[in-house]
Amino acid sequence: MFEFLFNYRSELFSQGELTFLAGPVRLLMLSVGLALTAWALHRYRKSLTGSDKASGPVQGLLLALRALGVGALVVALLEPALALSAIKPQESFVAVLADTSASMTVTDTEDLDQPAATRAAWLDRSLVGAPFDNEPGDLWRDLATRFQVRAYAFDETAGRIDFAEPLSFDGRRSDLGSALTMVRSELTGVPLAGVVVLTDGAIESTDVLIDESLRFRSAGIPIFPVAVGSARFDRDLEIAEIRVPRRTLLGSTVLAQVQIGYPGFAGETITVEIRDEGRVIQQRTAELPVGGDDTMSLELSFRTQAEGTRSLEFAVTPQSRAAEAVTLNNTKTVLLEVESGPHKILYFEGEPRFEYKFIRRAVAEDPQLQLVSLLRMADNRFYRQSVDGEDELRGGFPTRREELFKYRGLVLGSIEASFFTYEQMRMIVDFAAERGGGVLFLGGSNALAEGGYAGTPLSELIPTELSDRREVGPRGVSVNVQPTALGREHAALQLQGTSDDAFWASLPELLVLNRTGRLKPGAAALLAGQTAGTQEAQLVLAHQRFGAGSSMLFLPTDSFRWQMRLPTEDQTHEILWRQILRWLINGVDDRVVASPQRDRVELGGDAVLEATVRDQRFQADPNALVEAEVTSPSGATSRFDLTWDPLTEGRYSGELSVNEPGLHAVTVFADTGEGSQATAATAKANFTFEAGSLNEEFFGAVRQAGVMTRLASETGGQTFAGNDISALIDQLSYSTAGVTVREERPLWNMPILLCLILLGLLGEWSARRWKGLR
Amino acid sequence: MAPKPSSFRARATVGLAAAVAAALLWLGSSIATAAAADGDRSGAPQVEFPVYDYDHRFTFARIKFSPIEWGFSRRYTWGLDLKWNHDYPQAEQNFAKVLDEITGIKANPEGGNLIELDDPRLFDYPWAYLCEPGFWDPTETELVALRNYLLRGGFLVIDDFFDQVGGFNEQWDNFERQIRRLFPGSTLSPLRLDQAAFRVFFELDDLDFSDPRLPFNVPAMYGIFEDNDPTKRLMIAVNYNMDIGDYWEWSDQGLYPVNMTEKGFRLGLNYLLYSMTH
Repeated sequence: MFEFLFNYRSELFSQGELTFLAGPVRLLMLSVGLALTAWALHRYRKSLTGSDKASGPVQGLLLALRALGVGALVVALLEPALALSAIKPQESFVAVLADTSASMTVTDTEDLDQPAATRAAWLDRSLVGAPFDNEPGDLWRDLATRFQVRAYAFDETAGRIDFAEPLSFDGRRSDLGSALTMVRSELTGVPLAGVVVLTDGAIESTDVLIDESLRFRSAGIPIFPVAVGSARFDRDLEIAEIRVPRRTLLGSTVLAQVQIGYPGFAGETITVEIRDEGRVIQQRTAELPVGGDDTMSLELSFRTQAEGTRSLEFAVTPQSRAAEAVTLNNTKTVLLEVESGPHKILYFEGEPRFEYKFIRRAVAEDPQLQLVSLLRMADNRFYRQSVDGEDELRGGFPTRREELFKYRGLVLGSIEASFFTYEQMRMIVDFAAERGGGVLFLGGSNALAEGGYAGTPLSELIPTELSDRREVGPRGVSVNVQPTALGREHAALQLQGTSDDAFWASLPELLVLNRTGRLKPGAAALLAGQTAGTQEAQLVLAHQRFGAGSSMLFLPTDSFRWQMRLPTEDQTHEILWRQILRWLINGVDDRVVASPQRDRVELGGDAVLEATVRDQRFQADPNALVEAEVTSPSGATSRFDLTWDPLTEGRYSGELSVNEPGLHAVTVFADTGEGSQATAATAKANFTFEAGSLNEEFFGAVRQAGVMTRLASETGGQTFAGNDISALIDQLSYSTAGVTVREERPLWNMPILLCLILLGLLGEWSARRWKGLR
Repeated sequence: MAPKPSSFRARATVGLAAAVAAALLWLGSSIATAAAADGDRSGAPQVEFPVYDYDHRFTFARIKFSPIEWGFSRRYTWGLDLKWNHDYPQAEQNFAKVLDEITGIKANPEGGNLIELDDPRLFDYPWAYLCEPGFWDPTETELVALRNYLLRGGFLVIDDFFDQVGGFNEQWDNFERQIRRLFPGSTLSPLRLDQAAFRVFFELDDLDFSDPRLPFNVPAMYGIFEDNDPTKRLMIAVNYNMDIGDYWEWSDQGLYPVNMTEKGFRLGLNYLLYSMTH
């Protein structure tokens, strides 16, 4: 519409400046004319004033309309024009960058001329034309009428192309940043009017790209992305995201959250499978809901059965088997490090009670857990179990950070707060907040509010508010335990492969002694229940994140009744405690935490390895000597140093070029330089990354506008659709970059002026007729 | 010198009374024995006793059973010698007092519960005490319940049974027969001083628990272990020719020497703390 009324697109008006072409003679004549017009309008107003048919507002309207018509006519006679700097034909250059990554083979050209064609076909037609006719494509030809065209193809590499050569679309990623670097270096010194990027937008947003966009902006060279492909597939299933923990313990139940996008599949049934080395370890069938945004989240839990790095393949399959836009995005692989223990948890119990023994028995057979226990049998009489050597916990509860922080988890039983010194309480808080450990509080007559925890540093760590009341009733309340909505889906509470109400209702009641207040913000209840008599809601199990770690609260004092009262072969009690304690230490890091920046690396790319190193007190160590040893799939070993990151204390990183497909095992050694040779000052961490073809081009393969829009706005360019090439060429023709000449485009013939003249004069005439004036 | 008539009459009266009492006791025990032999336990009297509701505290659980024979006795509660009630309830009460005094265990000070083996409440109390197993003849249902109790983590102290020196080992034989019914193929392993049950809280100096009243009975301690493996958890501790319950009962009366009373408590506390830690 704008272009119809004003002859030119709005962008040209913002680029150019308004000028008038009328000469002095015409200006003189116009001045005389304006004076006569003013006199005529004055007379006209007087004649209206004398008439009793025209009230004040009508007079104003009539005058305004006549003035509008006359004014528009005057403007047209002044011969307005738009002064632009236009590209001088054939003296400026245009760089055309064509995305030849694999995602261009997707068939979704809904907004292009040819329906059901691939993005690549459109690109071929635009640039290289028909095979064997040795003629460029439409876009190339049109650009060549005004510019010197330099065309490049880019994916993970970039190179110059000629229209005589067919393009191959097999790139594994789209590294536009590096391509722009090449264009900039090749075309240095030539008048470059702009850069046209033909892409579907699946571009890597790298630091290089950001850097290049700033360089092009400072050089005044606009970038014009041309969007290829559809913004939304008609029909496609995609595994958009998978969330699984990076590490877990052997034998643990892992909960995987799978985000599935399904445009065009609503109402159909799908199956999601998890495969480990080709063997299906879990599957779930679901119906895709109708309505909403065509995405859904599915949860699958599975038990880890083999240690080491597991490459888990998630696959979604529609039952209809009907065609879809992209099938390569129906499977996705994630890495899971399955660790074997045992990992040490310290259990400190303040009073001899059967709960202590039964918790220990429940996890005694778990090879991944070592529940080191300290039981206060009497005042100053402690009993140690599962310790490593005579010295462990010899002095009772730890008083030094390095003594406590070697455990991954801490269980505090029925022990009054006054047992601890203030420093010990702060240390326990730091154990969760800084060391990242898990702290579990158990209910008991000396625990929580009844144990005097309100107002102490430890109360920060407890997931509920505590009251100041300390008395303990002799009986407590009996509770029927049920999972909350969150607990029903939680991996730690999948006790017998079922979470139905009947199973939970069959469990014996448990006794809760302690009174707790509200859950703290951020804490979540996982088990709750109703008191047997009064049917009041009673919290049973709660969890919260706390700094780098977490804390949990388990209120019943006698979970052992699940062991004693359920059938002898029943494993509910054992599974409950194994899973709670595994969950407590899940994801708890050691002194050295090392990981690849990305779990999966494209073959031929660089793997970035990162490590965070802490000393024995778990404080960031900026002075460590950190070395990585990488073992490739063929068994070749290489070692290199990781360098200190000046921005983050205790962080180290290094890069490794990856040329061999498969799993690469990495061990990071950190010498923190503390202690003598006799002490273990060197800590290490292991991880794995996988090199190979990732097919990442096919995830999120719909046209992505984000990077393209930012690139255009950063450099003064504009984004165009694939069927709007003429506008692109028009815009390029008035680029301020390149070799330009001043060009004045007439505006006197703009339809808007004719409209205003007609509106003014005809409107005034009609109004007069309407009021019965002459 | 001839005895005084009054003195003679008195002696005659006592003698008669003793004869009548002996006849009655013989009659009573014969009836009880006959009833038990017929498999009819209804002959054992049902008596009233306090019941303490389950709470978080340690509560002494005494196993109540229908004895093979029972009798009247002024010494025992309710005036009846029901075998399982020996030392009840003073033993429980004194044991709880010592627990409270010496350890951090929170115990019910009023006494303990009497629980039959087929009572589901048994499973709320993972430590139990049974005395006079020489008169114990559990039903199959009771045996199944006890087996489950022990396998799930329960601990049983068997105490207070003696055989006459030089006589038949009737008490032991009956006990052993019931144990074979409970765990066929199990081994009654002699307990050793270096085992955890004797080191867990008090480190005992010896296992000599000779009863000063029966100096010729040689005490012996045996155990039934999980999977018949003495390196695993002790499930049943057996005190043969011993009666630590009696030490507990009479601890506030001075019947036994202090050192024996103390040893009785030390052993009892160790058994309990072992059951709370293993």
